[in-house]
Amino acid sequence: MAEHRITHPYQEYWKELKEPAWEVIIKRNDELLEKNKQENDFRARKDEFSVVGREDVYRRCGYAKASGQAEYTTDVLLPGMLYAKFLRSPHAHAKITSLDTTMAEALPGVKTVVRYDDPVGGPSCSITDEAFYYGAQVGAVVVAETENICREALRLLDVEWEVLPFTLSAQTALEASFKTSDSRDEDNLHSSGVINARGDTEKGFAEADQILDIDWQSPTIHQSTLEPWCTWVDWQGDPKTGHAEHCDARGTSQGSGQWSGYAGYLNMGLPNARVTGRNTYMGGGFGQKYLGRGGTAWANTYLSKLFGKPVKMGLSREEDYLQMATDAGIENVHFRVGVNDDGFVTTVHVDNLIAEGQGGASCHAASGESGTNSMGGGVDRGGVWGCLKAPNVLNEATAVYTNMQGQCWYRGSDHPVTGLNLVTHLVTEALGMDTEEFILKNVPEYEPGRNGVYSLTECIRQAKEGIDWDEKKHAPGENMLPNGKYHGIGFRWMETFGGGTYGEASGSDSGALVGQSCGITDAGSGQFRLNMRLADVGVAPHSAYAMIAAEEMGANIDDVFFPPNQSIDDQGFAPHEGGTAHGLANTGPGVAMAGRAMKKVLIKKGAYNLGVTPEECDTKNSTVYVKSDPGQSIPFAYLGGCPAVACGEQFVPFIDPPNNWAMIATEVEVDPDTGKVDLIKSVIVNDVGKMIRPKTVEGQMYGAHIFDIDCGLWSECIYDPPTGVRLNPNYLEYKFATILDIPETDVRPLEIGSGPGIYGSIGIGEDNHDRIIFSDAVYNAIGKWISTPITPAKILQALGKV
Amino acid sequence: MRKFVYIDANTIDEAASALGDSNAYVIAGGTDLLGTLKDDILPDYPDTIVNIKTIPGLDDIKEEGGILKIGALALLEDIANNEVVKSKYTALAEAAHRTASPHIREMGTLGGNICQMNRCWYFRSTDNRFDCIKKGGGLCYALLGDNRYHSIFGGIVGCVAINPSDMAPALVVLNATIKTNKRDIAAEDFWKVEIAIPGSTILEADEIVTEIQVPAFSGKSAFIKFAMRNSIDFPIVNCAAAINDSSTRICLNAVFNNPYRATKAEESIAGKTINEANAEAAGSAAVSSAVPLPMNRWKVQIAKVMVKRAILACA
Repeated sequence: MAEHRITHPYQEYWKELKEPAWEVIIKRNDELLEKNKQENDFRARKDEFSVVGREDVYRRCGYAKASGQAEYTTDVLLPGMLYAKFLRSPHAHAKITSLDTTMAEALPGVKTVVRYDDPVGGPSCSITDEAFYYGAQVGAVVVAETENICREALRLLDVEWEVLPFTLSAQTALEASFKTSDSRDEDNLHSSGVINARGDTEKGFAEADQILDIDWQSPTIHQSTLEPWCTWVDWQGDPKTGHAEHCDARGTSQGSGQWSGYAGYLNMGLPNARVTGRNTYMGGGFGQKYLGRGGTAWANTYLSKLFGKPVKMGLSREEDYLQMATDAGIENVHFRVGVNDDGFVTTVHVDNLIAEGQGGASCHAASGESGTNSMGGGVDRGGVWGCLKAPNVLNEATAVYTNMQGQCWYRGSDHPVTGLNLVTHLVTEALGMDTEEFILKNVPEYEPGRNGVYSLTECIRQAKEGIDWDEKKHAPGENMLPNGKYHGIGFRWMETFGGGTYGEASGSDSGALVGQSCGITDAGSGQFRLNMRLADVGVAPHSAYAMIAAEEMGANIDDVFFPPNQSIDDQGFAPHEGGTAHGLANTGPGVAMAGRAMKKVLIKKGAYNLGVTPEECDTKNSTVYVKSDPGQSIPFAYLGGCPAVACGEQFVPFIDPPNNWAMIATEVEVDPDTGKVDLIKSVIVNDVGKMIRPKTVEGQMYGAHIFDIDCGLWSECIYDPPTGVRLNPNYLEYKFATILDIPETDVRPLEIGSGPGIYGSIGIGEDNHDRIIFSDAVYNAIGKWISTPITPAKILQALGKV
Repeated sequence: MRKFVYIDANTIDEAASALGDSNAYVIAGGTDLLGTLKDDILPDYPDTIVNIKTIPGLDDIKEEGGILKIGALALLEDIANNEVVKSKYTALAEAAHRTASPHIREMGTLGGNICQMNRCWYFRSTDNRFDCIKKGGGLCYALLGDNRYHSIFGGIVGCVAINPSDMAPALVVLNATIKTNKRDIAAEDFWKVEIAIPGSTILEADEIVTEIQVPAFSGKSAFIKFAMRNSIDFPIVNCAAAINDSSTRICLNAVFNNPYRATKAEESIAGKTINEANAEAAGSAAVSSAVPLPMNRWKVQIAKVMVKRAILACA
């Protein structure tokens, strides 16, 4: 491990605090948890639900999305709208030595060409004269009446480049005499250090019966969202004076509320109150779509202000692939595991070398941030290494700037989970040990869940039953089927850490502190409207959040409306936006609190109409009724009176380990002559704590598994070695699963443990995601361990056919 | 996409005239051409696009006088589902069925499939990023770059791009004739391009495919495809075989610039009983002349297996 240390901006920030940063957070967590217990413990289970958990609540965004009615960012056309596009680097590292924009500016329909050397426009549009990766925004941005004119103008730019040395390799970048990023002056190191540790690994290895080693590599992968990044900004003011009354902005962002900040006051000095952001339908985010990843919002705002007209900047599929952040490649990770002869793991040492591209979105453990992209994870319960009792753990990482695009999150905690399962594989293979035996020997003690059932053992039991494990399990490479293919089954495991423990689990030890506020309005008609800053992330969020509100109000679900595409200036009373990872579990409490507040208003009105006191009343089925005589009731629709508004806001604190587990068993067939892997069946068992909307839960489980398939068999960003040019920035060459590639998938959501989210739920959209899920089954089939993506070429090579 | 003149042709002559007068391309289903134009992969952008879908009578699938006649505008999905084709010209129906995806098969035509340009991610890189041999440049970038999907039998004038058509090998083994407005061309000769040009066929600038004729075939034919995914993928390797008492024809594709007639495999299996051992030997013979690139040795194994399986499918 290189002895580089970093000073991260966050660290500087925390230095100013009198108490250690994490102690501040933990203290705040404890205070919030205690407050919740006393006042509103939304984690508490209930015996009966009237709306939550119902199977028959339809997907409210379904028709709009299936029919084409849903309006996405790129669909919006405003009067006078202009379009903008950046010049992009044709080289992996190059500097502009000369730029002639004369011909482009003369093209009819071109409004302006903002150059890097424009003292105001250059910085405002975040453009410089040097590009550090292929496809990087560099040098100039063109504004024109149509996108096609923008493209034509870009072709007319006369650019001379000085092509500079580049590298895609973290190791090479560490040793290079040239810069791979503009973020460092002295070296190319992004960050380096200990992610987390416990015990004494040196002593642990000395005392272990056996020491096992394995190296692993993992390519840079891309989220490949269906909808490419697009933003537009409508600066409504006087471009001559710069004075503006209002700014309207929208983008394909997982953080819809970010717009009011970034597009407005952060960039252009416009107060937050004068900026209207918009929730938007969005064609997939998967951790990638955050403002700044696209790097276009700042330029958009400047350009809209410059012309006093709305300006849209949409990326093509290729531009999205080249610019939007990827999931960093693990150039190499070395695992050293100390294990006793009985299979008990005493010591784990993990050493990551990460090709960081142009830097991440707080994604790397090595930086002391959240660390989802290292084979790391927290050392305490709820974290990846918390799944093992091993007394000694040392997890280190070095992240290095390379000449690739920036890095960001990717759906799921794949790298940390992958690390746990690599260790599991290493030990079970070396000792000839069954995976279940390994798990039960190494997992810490934990409490039973609902009805005395143990989440872990029940998940294992169901996964094994679903895949017919006892019948089909065989020694590696010893089951050739009549069709000439090798049969294999595999088994992966993980503690579901969604919700409040996410941050801890992914290595920062900070704990996730996620707040979501919600407003509910009642116009006096008994119809309720939810107002929230919430991106279109997850499966049918508009249905699930409405269910929580209806549950708490005692309303019929059909009486609660959560409008998509609502503008954020409607939500002055709902200012906080929760995170999107594990969003429903984390942010549901804010909705529940608003629902309870609205219920109080409804009861007060109902009691007045019924001639009783509020204490005598309750609500159900959109009526207020007298508890002692349910026949005395009045529908919400007849309550009348003034329109009501109720607000709720709840922060979900870091809590105890959730005790919710996830198991995936897979069955494959491998053709030894072609190396093709056929996925036969997958069984996904996930203890979800409490289901809000069952179809949403199942959808997340299917969705996460499809990402397993993509990462397992195909996903990788491919670059031309001599030039660093990306070779597969399109849906044809960058491959992910088609419907014909998805096996029979048996999803089994269980409700056993109690998660940190609303009603004991837990975020599960990411935790059953592990890119090596099929490596285990393929190993069982052919007796060879194949890194991802598991390509036919690798299998044929492993089998000696090439 | 850049601007161009768009002409709806009403007759073949009208279309041919428009093609001869300018730098023009034909459009039918458009599934290959539109991507090519949007990505701006060529050094010269066409100034005219000639739509031939407006020409009547080019989409029939019929058997006349023992000859299967398929119009150039016949949809791949219609060919895949045609009962005559399925029963008598099995390789052709199977090749159509394995092409691309249902949506693309509903748009793509037989004429378009056999005229599509070669595949190579350097040749098809957007904005003509790589001025390669096929575009008149001096280098084949795949030779020194990532060539995992490229030719395993060398290349014409140094280009190692592959022909990706699924229909082409089926037409070659079924001894089809490709009729144009100017001449009849044996399928085997249709792709024998000997110089470096962006196109994949020997068609002249004003030449248009009008019909494909397949002579009656009494034996068994089969088409096998290996792709990375089970749908929407070009072949890594595909293979068609047509075997009867008097002839054995085997053709690989996606292994060379042109469809690759596996003559050594034909010689190996001709006159022999079709069984595992003989098919295996024929597969080995098929790739005995392979000269794989550093990253695509695995394709040699795939090609060998495809030949073997195509032969066994004709048993």
